[in-house]
Amino acid sequence: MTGRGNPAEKEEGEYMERTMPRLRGSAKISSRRRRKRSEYRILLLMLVPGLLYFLVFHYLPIYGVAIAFKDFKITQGILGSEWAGFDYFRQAFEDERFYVVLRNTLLISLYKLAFGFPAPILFALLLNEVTRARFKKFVQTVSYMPYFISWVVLGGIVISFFSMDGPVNWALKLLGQEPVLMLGDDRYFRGVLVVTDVFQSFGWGSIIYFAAISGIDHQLYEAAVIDGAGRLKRAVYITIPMLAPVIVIMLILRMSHILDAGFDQIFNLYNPNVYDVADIIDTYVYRKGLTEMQYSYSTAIGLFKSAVALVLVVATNYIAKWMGGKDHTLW
Amino acid sequence: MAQKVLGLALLTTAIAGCSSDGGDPASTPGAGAEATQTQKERMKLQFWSTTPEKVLPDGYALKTIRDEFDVDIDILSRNNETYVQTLQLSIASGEEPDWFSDLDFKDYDKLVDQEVLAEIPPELLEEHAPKYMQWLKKELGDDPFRYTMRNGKNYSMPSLWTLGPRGNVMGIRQDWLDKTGIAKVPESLEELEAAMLKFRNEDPDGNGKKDTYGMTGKTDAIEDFFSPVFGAYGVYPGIFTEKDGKIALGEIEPGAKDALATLNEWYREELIDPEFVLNKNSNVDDKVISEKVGVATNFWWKFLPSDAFFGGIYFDKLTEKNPNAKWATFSGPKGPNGDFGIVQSNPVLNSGLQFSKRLEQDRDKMIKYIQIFEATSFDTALYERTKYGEENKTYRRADGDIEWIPPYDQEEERVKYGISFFNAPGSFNDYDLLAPYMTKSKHMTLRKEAESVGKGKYNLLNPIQRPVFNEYKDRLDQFTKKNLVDFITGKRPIGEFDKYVEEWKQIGGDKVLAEAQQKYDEIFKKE
Amino acid sequence: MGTMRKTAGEKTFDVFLYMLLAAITIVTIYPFWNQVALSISDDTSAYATGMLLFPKQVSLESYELVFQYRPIWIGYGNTILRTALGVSLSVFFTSLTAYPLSKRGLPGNKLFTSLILFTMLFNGGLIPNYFLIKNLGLYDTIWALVIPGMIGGFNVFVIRNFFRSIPESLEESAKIDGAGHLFIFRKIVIPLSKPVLATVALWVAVYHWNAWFDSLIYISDANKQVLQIVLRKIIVENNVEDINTILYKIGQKSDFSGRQLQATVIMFSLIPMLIVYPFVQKYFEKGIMLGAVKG
Repeated sequence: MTGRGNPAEKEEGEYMERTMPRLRGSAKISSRRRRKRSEYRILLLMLVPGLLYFLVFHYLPIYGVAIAFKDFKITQGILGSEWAGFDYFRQAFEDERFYVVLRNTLLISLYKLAFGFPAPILFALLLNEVTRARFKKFVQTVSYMPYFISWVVLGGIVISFFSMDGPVNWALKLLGQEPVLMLGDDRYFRGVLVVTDVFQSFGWGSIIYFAAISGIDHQLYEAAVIDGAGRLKRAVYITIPMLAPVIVIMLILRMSHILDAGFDQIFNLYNPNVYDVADIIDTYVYRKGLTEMQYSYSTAIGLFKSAVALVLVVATNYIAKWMGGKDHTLW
Repeated sequence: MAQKVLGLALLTTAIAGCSSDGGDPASTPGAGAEATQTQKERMKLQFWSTTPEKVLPDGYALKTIRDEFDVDIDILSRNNETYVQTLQLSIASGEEPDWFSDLDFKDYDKLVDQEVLAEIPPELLEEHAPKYMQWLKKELGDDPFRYTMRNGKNYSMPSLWTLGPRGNVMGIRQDWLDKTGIAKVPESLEELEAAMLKFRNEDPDGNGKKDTYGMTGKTDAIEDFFSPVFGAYGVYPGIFTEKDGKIALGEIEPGAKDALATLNEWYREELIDPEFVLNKNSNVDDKVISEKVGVATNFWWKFLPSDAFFGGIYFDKLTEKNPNAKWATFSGPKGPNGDFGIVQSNPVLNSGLQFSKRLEQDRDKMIKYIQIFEATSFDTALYERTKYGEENKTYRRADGDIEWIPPYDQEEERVKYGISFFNAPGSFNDYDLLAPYMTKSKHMTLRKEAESVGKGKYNLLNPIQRPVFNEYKDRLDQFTKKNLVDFITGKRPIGEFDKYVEEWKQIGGDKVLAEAQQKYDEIFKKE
Repeated sequence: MGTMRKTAGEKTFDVFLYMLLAAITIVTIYPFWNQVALSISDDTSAYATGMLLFPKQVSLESYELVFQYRPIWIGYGNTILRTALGVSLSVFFTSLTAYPLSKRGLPGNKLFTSLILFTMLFNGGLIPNYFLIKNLGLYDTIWALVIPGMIGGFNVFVIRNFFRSIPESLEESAKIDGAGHLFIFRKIVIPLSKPVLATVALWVAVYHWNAWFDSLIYISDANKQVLQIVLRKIIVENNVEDINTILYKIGQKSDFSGRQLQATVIMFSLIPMLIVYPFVQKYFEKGIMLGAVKG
């Protein structure tokens, strides 16, 4: 169960318990064990409210996933509905369109990850270099404003931003290029998705990194300055390593919504011209829900997404550990 | 995320305000169901409202109904976004309300299957709601229950949107025609094209910029794709219509090819706003009101002042900005064979109103509801009282129009008094009956003229359950939309139209057509 | 740190930095600016296509209208209550849960971690949760909004890992002085974790501030509805009919553009958040770790 503790712990009872038989009269050891046990008892007690909460509010209702395996009829309830096995899953996997939307979901999600994950970090690093406090606060506050504007409204703004007489095309014309209706063009649509998504979320996402940076001991920086390290060196050798724990855990946890490519955003921006590149799992399931499919199908898809997410979280965790970040991972 | 049908239902709701009033939280609905009729105890009925905080239980409207029918009333809260879900949840927990309405046919079918609906024999309706039946038959003919019957039994009170079949018209800026020297409203495709060329190139809004187009469009649904142009060639995209005894789907008919060729030409001539692909509803409205286009296709009432009917934003907003703006409406351009028309809406928008199975055991209650529904929608005297209050106290008649008497011209006072937010349950709107309340007398002729302009066909198969169609709908829709856009913009040459039809059939289209023909024969040919 | 002199290279970097950040700020502030402009414009400018930067005419009518719309204030009250309750419960219980898990030696640690992770990925869906809430008697109460999301796995792990980064020596020295875990938790770990707790508090606050779906499903009394329900009605459903009738009170004739009302209403939702944030920013100030490490 343990064995991964720090050296201090290893010195204590555990290690000795396993390698040495209990010695008579070893009062030191047994009192240590007692202390350990009572220590753990308090810790476990502290854990009780949380576990109770998870039990009642997450594990009790989990039987709902059975809907994915049943021909769910609302009046028969979950238990009373007929068993359908993997029928709904089969339906999904035999549907050609499913693979198209799956591909889109993965691609869009990966692009967003590649650009959207580092962006808040870079932003936090850059802003950290600013010394004028008011400017810094201002920029920070402004940066997280877009996060609060829902895509129902932001979509309209993005559409006019990229419209034929909008600023983007105006800039293109200035540079001597032909204006392009990017949102209606399947070559550019995904790009617009990624860029606008990053822009909406980078400020909000950087908050955790600001918090982490604020915990870095000043003295480290001061010592580095005395040693003659410039800004870049300080950022690379101090800030980033100190941020590593947060970065790793955020990355691992981010994997849990790898197959959520951004329903709200895409729903409000997509159009017939770009279906083939923009349709994702969630928009597809949503439309199917409008015509006919109900709970069973969408639950099955949801289950599929969760399973994939689980695999990715575990895999990323493993890779992180293997790369030496074992103190910062999930397990 | 509003569903299109819910969106239309909302429109209907807004037009005559047809959500009914509700009250207590749904956690105690059992009270209504178990009420036994004793001498002293009154029946407890439930009504819905989207704004329950504005409906006072002792307000005038509710009190009127309570006294008139000797019942007590509970108001249930209804939120349109999660209405269906909350309803399903309440059914699942066995606590569903007495009645509910505006459900899609697909949900209706599920409920019929699961046996949670009460049977509503037509004879019961004939007896207790004669005016309602008359109104139904006027639009639907002698068998108004043909859409809601299941296995020989009827489970619903059908609801109609009588504005549907004649709702859509084409509007053109009369002042722009005048300015560019066009003497009469265009009648044929060629004339429309000529007018739009001038709209595009001759700066009709006089702002010195070449920023006006002939028309724009949106791509939410296939029916939105410039249907008047298709109508000129006798086809109706996105819907199933009848032609020579067979079912026809507009977008794959030969006429569609010609329509698309015309649209492609217009696109190349810059008559069509190139952003039409992206537009949602609100963009189209914006573009019309900010005078970027001279031709628009929409409901006839949008082109009239609000007090001529309802919600006339193309008129009100436009004239606020530009008092010289004027609209002329017509039924769509005529094609080479003299065809014309616009895709319209089937009056049967949804499955109507249903009762919970509980009420099968409580016949009296069902009858009471039916009587109230009949009265609040078709009895002018009662309608006036619940909507306007007492004559000469809260309102008066002046030159045939209704006027509020102060202080009841203030909404707050009206809410306190108990009128103005009570809406007749069930959405049974008889617009002729409601005419004096919706239209100021000075606009009456205007309205009568305007409402007869709309011509075209609507989807015959809307209310009919079609599992094959449901299965392929998404795929076919997307395929068609993409192709239509490509044909119009020229990305796909019009010569490939036949190929498109073949491909469409192969990906499931011919199965859908076969099913459509079969259903059509079943329902319509048996007469 | 501000007492050092910068080199020439650093000064040029500064220039680029400020320019870049200014550019980012401009692009980022644009949507907000657009909504502000839209909300204070007069009626007809609201329909203009293209980018709206400055309204042709300023008018505060739509604000007047929204101010008078009672459901918004009811919504505010409920949302503030929900957020306050939610944040306090959440931060408390999540950190209480994260603390034991931060001890690697804890028996069953890996198992607990897996169990909690599982809840992040899998859930039973609307129907079982609905029945649970009803059966627990929480339906139509504030608890239905505050308890189900009280402890999020994500937050547990973020806080847990932060706790792990606190130097062991602090805990050791406390233990030597006879302190138990509760004391260490309260007096050492929590005070040192202000940045991460503030961040989680902010995340939870925003979650509650923006939440609407649970309120729609679990609350039926109109007086208990949260702000976002009201706003959504206007933004998503474009249900402006109700609010427009208030116009007659101000003596107007025409209705407001749906889009304009949306913008005004968004301000109502956004501005409180903007006011709150500077207070939270305080917790991100540097220099938390005092001389504690040295001794």
